[in-house]
Amino acid sequence: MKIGKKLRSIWHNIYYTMTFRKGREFAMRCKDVVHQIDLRNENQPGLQKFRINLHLSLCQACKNYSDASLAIRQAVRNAVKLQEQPERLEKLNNNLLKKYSEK
Amino acid sequence: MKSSGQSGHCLVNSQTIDLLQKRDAVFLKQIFLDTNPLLARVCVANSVLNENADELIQQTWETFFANLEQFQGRSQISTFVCGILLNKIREYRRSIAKFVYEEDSEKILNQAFSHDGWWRNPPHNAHKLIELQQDGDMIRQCLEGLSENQKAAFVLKEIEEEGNEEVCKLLGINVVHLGVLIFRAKDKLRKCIEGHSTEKGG
Repeated sequence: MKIGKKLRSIWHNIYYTMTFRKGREFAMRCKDVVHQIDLRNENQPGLQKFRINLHLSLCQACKNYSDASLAIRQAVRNAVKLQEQPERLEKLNNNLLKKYSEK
Repeated sequence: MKSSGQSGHCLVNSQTIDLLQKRDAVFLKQIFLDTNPLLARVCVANSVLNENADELIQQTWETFFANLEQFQGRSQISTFVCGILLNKIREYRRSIAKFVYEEDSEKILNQAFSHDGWWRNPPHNAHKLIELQQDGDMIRQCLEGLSENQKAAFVLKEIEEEGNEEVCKLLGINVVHLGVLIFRAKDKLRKCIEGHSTEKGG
């Protein structure tokens, strides 16, 4: 595997793992961290600034992903709920009970 | 799989199996009450509605009772029955030529990100999605674009909030594959919903 492709693969794995598995928790923690960081502070060394910028970018990406995930989940829940038919289900339950009980 | 009722019937011990084999009416009533709402939701997410859903749920129980001796209590009743239903849904969707086949997950995942590792199509502001949450028809239309396994994984994990182990057992996959299925399902749904948002000028 070429080094570029390998790096890309590693980066994807990290990013994907973070957004999928820990995105929500990560975004929550990020929110607290973001409030404490002052990027306009000129006294911070370059590397630290780079780290902070990277951290903020990832935070934003995770937050967007997390928000989108929650919105999608709620949308599907609502869509499924709109199709609920309690009376139909009750009738089905009664039919099944009649068919299978104590035979 | 957790029970939605209060009976605790999902703990499968020898007494439970005995009640099943005796077809105890009170026990069966509770099992149907606990399990059928889940089966109905799985049907809806797979665009199997009304009479077709009733039919598949009835066929599912028929298979369950016909093969009762194979149920040895290693999984909870609702998990076992849901597995049967998912197979019935696959057969049904094949029969009406609406089966959506799985794509190459690895390829799709790589396509989702650019060379520097960023999204090719990053999530929009979630407010746009929230605005469209009431549009049930559109959401169901978007669900149609998911493969059968993506739909099942998404509904069981995200809607029913089942644990990874149960979902993996049901779908016969490992946890890494489950992660990819969920990611892909969300990604497809997001793009589909955002597409509708753009069409509507959102």
